Amino acid sequence: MLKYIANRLLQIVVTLFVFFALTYFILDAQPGDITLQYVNNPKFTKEQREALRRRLGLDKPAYVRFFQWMGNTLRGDLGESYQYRKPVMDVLLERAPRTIFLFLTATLIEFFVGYWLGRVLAWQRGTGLEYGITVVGAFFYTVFTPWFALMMIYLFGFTLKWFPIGKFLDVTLWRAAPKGLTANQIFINLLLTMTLLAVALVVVYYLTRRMNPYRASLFRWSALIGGAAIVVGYWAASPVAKYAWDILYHMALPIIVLTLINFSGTMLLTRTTMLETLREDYIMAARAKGLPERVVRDKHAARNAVLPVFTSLIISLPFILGGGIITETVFSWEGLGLTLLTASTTGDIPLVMGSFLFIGTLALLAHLVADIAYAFLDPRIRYA
Amino acid sequence: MAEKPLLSVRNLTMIYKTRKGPVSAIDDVSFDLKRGESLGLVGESGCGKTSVAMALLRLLPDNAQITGGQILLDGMDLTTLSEEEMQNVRWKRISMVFQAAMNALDPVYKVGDQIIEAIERHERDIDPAEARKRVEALFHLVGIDPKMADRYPHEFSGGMRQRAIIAMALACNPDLIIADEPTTALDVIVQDQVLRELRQVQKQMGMSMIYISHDIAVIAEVAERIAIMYAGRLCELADAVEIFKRPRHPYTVALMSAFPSIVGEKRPLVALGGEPPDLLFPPPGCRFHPRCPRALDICKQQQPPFEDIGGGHYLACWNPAPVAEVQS
Repeated sequence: MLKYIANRLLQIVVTLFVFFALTYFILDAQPGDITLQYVNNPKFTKEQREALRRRLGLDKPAYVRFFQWMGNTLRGDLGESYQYRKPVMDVLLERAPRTIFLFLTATLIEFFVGYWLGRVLAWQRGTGLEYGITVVGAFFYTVFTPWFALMMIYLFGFTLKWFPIGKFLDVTLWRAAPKGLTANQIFINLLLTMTLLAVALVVVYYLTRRMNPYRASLFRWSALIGGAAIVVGYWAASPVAKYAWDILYHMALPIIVLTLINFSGTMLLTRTTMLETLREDYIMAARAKGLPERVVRDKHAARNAVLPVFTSLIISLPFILGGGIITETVFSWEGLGLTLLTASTTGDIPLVMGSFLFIGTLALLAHLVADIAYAFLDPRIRYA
Repeated sequence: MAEKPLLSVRNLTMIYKTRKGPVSAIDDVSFDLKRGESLGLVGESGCGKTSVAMALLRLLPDNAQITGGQILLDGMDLTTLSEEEMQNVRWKRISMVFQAAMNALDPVYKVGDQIIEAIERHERDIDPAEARKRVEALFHLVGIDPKMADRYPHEFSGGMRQRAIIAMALACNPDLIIADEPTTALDVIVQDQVLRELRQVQKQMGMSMIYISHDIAVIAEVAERIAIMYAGRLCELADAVEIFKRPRHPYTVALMSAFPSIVGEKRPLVALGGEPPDLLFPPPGCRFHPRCPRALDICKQQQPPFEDIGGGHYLACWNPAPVAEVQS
């Protein structure tokens, strides 16, 4: 196992190097550079532009700059963003938590909903309910995302005014915020509590897996409800509850949209694999043992059907880290996705590379963690 | 009949509803099974053997429907039980050794845990340590190292899996075990071992057994009585020796002449011409008549009754073969 992990880490390093080199040279192949944004300014002379280019090092060939960037990065210096005039690291640390929190929450909800519905669909095969949900799911699966997101904003944000229209906080509320409180702290704390809850739930699941199904599900549900209650209680009692609530309130509409757009992929996948699983002999054997249908479905059929669904969750991890550029743009959610988009259209090479470094490294590490977790989910898989 | 039978199947009739119409998979099947007795159910693929097994456990697919008859287990009619009541019968009273042992174990759970799951289902208050002990005893009984209980199915060989499945079938000490093609997936050597062990365990524990197979040679080794099934109906049922020595139904006769005898004199093997009928449109009268060398006019019109012709030899034929036509 250790050898496998070491091997994989080495592969990750090689992959990252190739990835950085490719993105760097593709970025550089774009016509123009950051200095173009001053071109319409009559006071900006040709000489000044050249001086600026020299100062930013843009006069050197791309490969020289790439290796320089690589060297600086290895020393821990990601450089300075051309647009923001501050270290890339600071920009990323500011943008990453909000993206991760939004997309992690949305992805978890989306997978949970999709998995749950897919299970129901497979179990209700051939009924009107199955056809109904499948048609609705297919609609959301194929809908044009920006159009759908804008329609949702128009309906729920503009017409009904149930949700705020954009951004992740209400500026007037935050103006009165205590000194030193930043939205980032709240995002990070929310992420931390969510991680703690998730770890606690996994531990409970692991401890109860040998119990008989009734007792196990009792324990699991009480752990889920109890854990959620503790988290909610903790946040409600904290002095920053108002601000956390504001952020969650702004998150609601993006999460609803993301869930609606993405759940059906998981749902249809779960349905298909579950239908295949249901034809297996061990399902018949489970029934023959006299197990109630619910246990056959949850403990045997769904447990085996979860494997490909888990794979698809792994594949969507980079999406969590990179953020949906379209979603962030439509909801003016200034996270990594939007940062990456503006940075690459303006030619802010250090910031683009920094974002890719962040996204790429975390995505590859997440894949590794997921692969290791897979060995625990499926006993047939062993890494030698 | 002096002794009350453990299982009594009375005129069981079952159809599969399909888009093209009802498929008559089991038609008017009746047989009794005494406590401790082993019955072999023989027939070619698609004749309804497995459907009978599934009907006994009421594990039929959704489109199947029992349209008539009774399945009496100690006088209790299984066809009228609710799903919950039936769940209590499954495994506790009737368990099963599955056709494809390779796939009858859930790949993500340890084999021992899957057996414990069945025990705990039917004995709610059992101490986990005791259940565990029972699994080890069962593994010992079927000839697997008890340590293997902590292994996953993929770590078992084919023969071991089949033994584990047998151990699982014995876990709740059922009255009846249905073995559906228990050894088809195994090679001949292992097949023989497994059969012998199965037979031994069954005798030791005094449970009844129904063996289902397309291979009459396999059945001959383990069953005391043999029922021959053709196109959803039973055509002959008698003691194993009787069936081999004095087969009366032309189909049974055909089956006997289709496999070689080691001790008898050399004779050409005779294959039966034609194909089994489409059960969407079963032939009227006797279902075997289109392929039967002895068919009469009445066979095309009227279904022959399944009757005792003496000494517990049941037969459904208008024109049975004379006694001792086959020597083997």
